[in-house]
Amino acid sequence: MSQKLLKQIRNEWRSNIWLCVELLVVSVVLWYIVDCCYVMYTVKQWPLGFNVEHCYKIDLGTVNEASPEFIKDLPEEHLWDDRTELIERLRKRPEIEAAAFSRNSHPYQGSNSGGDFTIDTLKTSGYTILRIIQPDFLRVFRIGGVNGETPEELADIMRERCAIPSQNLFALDFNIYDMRPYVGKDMYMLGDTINSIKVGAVANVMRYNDYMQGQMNRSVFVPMGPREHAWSNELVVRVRENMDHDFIENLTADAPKQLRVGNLFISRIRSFDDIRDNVLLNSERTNTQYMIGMAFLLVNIFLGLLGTFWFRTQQRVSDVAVRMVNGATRSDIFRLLVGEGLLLLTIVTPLAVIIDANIAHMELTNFLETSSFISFSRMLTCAGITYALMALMIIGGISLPASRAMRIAPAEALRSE
Amino acid sequence: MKQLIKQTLAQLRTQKMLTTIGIIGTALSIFLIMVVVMLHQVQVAPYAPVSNRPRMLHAQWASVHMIENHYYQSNGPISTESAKRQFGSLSTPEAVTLYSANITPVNIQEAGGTPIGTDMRGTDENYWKIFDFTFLNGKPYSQADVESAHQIAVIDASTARKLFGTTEATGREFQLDYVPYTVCGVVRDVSTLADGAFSHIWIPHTTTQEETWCYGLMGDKSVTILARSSDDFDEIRAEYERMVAEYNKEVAETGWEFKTLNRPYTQEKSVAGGGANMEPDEKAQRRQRWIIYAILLIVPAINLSGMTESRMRRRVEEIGVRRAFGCTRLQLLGQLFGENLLITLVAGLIGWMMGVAFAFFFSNFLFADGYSNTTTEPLVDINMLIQPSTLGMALLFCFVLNLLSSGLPAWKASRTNIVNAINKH
Repeated sequence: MSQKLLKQIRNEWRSNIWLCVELLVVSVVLWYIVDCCYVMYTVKQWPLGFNVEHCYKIDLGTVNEASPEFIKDLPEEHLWDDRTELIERLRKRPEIEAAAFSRNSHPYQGSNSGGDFTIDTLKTSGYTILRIIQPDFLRVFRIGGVNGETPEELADIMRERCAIPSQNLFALDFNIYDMRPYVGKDMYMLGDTINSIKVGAVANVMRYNDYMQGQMNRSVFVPMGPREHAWSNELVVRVRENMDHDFIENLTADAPKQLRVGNLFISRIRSFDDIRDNVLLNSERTNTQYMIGMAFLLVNIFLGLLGTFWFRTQQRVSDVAVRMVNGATRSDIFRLLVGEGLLLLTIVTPLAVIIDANIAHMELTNFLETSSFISFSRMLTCAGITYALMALMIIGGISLPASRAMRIAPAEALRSE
Repeated sequence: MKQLIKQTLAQLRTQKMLTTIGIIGTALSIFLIMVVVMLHQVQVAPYAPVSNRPRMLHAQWASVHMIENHYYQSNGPISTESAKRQFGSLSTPEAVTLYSANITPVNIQEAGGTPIGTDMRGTDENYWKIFDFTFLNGKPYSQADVESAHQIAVIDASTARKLFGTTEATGREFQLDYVPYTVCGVVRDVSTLADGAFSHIWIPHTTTQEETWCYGLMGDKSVTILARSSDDFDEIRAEYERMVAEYNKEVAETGWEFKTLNRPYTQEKSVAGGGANMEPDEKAQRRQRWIIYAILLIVPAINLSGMTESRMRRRVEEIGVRRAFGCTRLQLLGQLFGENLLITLVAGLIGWMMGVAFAFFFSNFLFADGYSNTTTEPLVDINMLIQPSTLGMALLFCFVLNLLSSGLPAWKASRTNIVNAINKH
């Protein structure tokens, strides 16, 4: 069979060269896209380490002196007391499960604080996120500990004024993947060599977002000082799952009467679903663009094969007829034509994989923490997916002309000879 | 020409399948290329209120470094004071405006009404000269209004309708974060794609308190310059460098100095991405776009080329007969090439229209910006998408595609040996 196919391919070498070149180019580009998607998909599968369902962010504003509602000459304590009063009023609402002030810390926050952290002689290098939070922040986003501590337990540990680093704090710099031996030790922050804070527990890795790898995924939770929330820029809340209906509308309606404290007012409430969608928009769009690119290439193969084989079966009517007269069944004819296409793809694929490997070797592919720019299994998976997708298109593209060829009546076809 | 069209039509009829495939393939390719082109076009093409984009220079962000140790730096919006000192006395440009770099979420309400969340931007008076807003009624605020921190505001039509139920809102009062403001003008809605010009409410920047940082060097402003002509860009940059050097001397005691990073940038460079701490690499962006165009052209070109080749082989006899009757190779080449170009152009037109329609109906998916502070969806009107330059690009790509896909087969066909060709059957 395959000998017959090879001969058939040789006879049509002229148009087959076009096909081969096309299959080669498409195979390489398609593999590249599949590889990009592979990296994105793999990263997206990793656990996030936090949960934003039923969470909301409340922006606060301050009435300024141009307003008739401005309260003049408030003593300084109001800076923090008003905010404490506001969050306490929020906590008393039945639908609120937890509420906390924090600074540059919440998930999907693009603007962060960072620094270096030292325990014993080990000091992080590069950017490490510093999350200054009130302990209930851990309850809002359901961040648990490595020893299976619940968010509540972790929050209680933090109330003892302890810092909580993430499990991967020293992974990139020192290949230390378990931070638990450092619990109870002193940690120094931001180049400070005098004031330290005790490590109270180790938190699960809280990722930066669904697509981020590397150092932005490591962080240290540090408790906020008793008055520090006066300068916090985030107020986050978790709403009880069974009471999360029209939260934004209800709170907006109640805000002017119940939640005005001093010169403070609620200026905006956003759900974290919304914030996440907005932040991930660019990544998700890149995903979709890859998919569109992939579809475009596949449609091109489909059309290319459809056209070439349409023409070819037209030319080879008599050839097919003679085969049928000599006992070939219809499915034999179908297999012969599709087999030719698949064989072409199989011939081209090793060549394409060599080019792919070179592209990966030049580090033009996307970086993935677990397999750098390429690994054997990643190559196998992506090349395999590429081959399968292209094979599907080939079968699709050829079956239309092939089924037309199958249907010819041999007597009719041969009469014209 | 008439002959050419006739022949092409005849060809189409005899080879229905191949022609259909050819047209779909070409249209698809041009369609996707057009989408990529338009993604870039909306960021750089001129349309109201950013009709002056070709003459604009932007300093969206500023950068300060610690003089002693350049490792420490701050990048972001500049303070009003620094901006005025660095840009205010430039003599080459036609106008300079400073405005809040980011829109601010605010609450607005008619006295006693329910608060509505929306977006606000503080600006100076020149803002209204550089960006050509369409005023439905009223007028912008003046220099005197800005200097005396007059509490008046320009609002867009949709906000006017939400607040007052009409766009005839000049003179009406509303509260912005509990501060009373009077509407002085109503403008047509602005697309989020018009970057610095986008907002729902504009107020004199002096009516709100600017939060400055880094010893008052940095704040919340961006600067846009309108040059008399794009030929002046280099001169403006040179003048700006001198101003910054001078200003750095004055503020040296803070321990910080401004780095210009070759600002201000042209529109294209300004949107070429990167953070506030680096100079955008417009060339890399351009290269990336052309690689995408190349892939989108080459794959279908190989495809179409194979099919054109098949078609030519069917016509070998016709070609032989023509040659025998004295048709020159050049004429033949011209005819085959022209035939294909006609089909490509028709398909290209379909692709271009598909592109415009797609961009129009899926504008949110294509153009919305992540990390943006507004929840307003990008408004796209057809004037933004149908640009002469876009159409020019479409024609260019059709021509290239045709050259790639029919050049070689046509050339080969025109060189067919006459005797062999006629003798084939």
